[in-house]
Amino acid sequence: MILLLGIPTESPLALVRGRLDELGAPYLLVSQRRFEDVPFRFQVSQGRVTGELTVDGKRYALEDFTAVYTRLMDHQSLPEVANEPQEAPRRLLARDWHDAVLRWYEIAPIRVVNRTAPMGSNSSKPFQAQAVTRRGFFTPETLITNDPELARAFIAEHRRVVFKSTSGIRSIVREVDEDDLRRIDAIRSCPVQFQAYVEGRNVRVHTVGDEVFSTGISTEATDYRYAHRQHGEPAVLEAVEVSDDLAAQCRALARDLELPFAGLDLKITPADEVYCFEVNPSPAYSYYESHTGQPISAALARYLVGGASHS
Amino acid sequence: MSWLSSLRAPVLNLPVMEGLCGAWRHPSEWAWLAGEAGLTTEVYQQGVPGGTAFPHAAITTRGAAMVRTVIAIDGQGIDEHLAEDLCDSCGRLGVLAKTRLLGVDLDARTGAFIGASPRPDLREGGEPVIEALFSSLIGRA
Repeated sequence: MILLLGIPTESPLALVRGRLDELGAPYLLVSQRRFEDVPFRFQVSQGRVTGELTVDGKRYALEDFTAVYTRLMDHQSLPEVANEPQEAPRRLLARDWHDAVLRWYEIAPIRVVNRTAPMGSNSSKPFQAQAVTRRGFFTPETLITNDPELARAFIAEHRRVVFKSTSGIRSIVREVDEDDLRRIDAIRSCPVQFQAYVEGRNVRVHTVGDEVFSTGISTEATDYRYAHRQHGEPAVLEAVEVSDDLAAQCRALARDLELPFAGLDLKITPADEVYCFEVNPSPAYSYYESHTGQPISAALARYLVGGASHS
Repeated sequence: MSWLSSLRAPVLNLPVMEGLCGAWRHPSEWAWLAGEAGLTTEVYQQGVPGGTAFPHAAITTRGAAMVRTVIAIDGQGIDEHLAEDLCDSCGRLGVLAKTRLLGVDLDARTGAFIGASPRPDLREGGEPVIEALFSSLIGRA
């Protein structure tokens, strides 16, 4: 049986649920908003992980789950606790429930999309970039600094430069302009990642186990995710094919990072150089699937179902 | 973290997201890995309702004399006075934890696993640990 965790109406989770229904695959969907009435307990004894959870009076042995797809959101933002004081019993209960669930699937010997520890590489872009280059991808010339003079020199050298966050906190990638140069001293408060602008076509590659889905993205915006805000028009997405070698490279990088499901942000230059900016460990793939019809959710469902034969 | 990872020189331990000197793992994860490595462990329990229970925590609160620390380097447990199978298991734990330098705390009386650390007190190991560290860093047997 497959365990689905998160907010049931969230698109990535809802799509996978639909695909599992199509396959007739058994699953249990647990809304994290039900932390108060879904007892959950696990134990570890001599290397063996067991436990149970109870939903609507029915007990499920954790050992009977062969795969987990987790889309748990930050429990502190759940409507049930968001307005509660920090030490409120309800907030502590939410914390303890989510911690128990997460600790269990971190060590359960089953397929998990995705475990928390491997997702951590995305918390440091320069750290993840080293794994990216080891797999043969290009990365842009990069400067991470809180020194305005170094930043000015880098910008002068590369003519077109973008800046973004260094951590996994989402930022809108923007090109440095005159206004930014006037306020460059502000970076003394916090290091910023500057990168030489790379010309080329945006390609988003989703890897699901051994399956690869490539989406070409056309836009004049610097950050296609915010194309409408930056350029007044949304990006245009379409399914594209990449070479077998590139597909294999993407699969290998996702494996290196221990991510059964990953979203790779690539840019392919006119000279066919492939740059990789980021490997997203929790891809919101539904945006791409809804625009192109690429059956990423079906691949996810197949991967989760495949866990039964590997348990 | 990325700077340490970029160094060409040997680094013990390489930084990971869970710690700059190696992974600081959750007790549940240590309990699981220790069992896989062949160490005797007490049962770890966690959940809602019920909370968390890991009896080993009580051992450390009764004093350092109750705890024996074995240093494991590159898959080898180093303790001349410890049974070979326990040394082997400590070494295996380092391998399973993907941590080249690991301090493994055992119950001094029973040899049962208590905890582990990627930043052990190297004084516990004496000269044999220094020699093993030297070999690991320099790369000679």
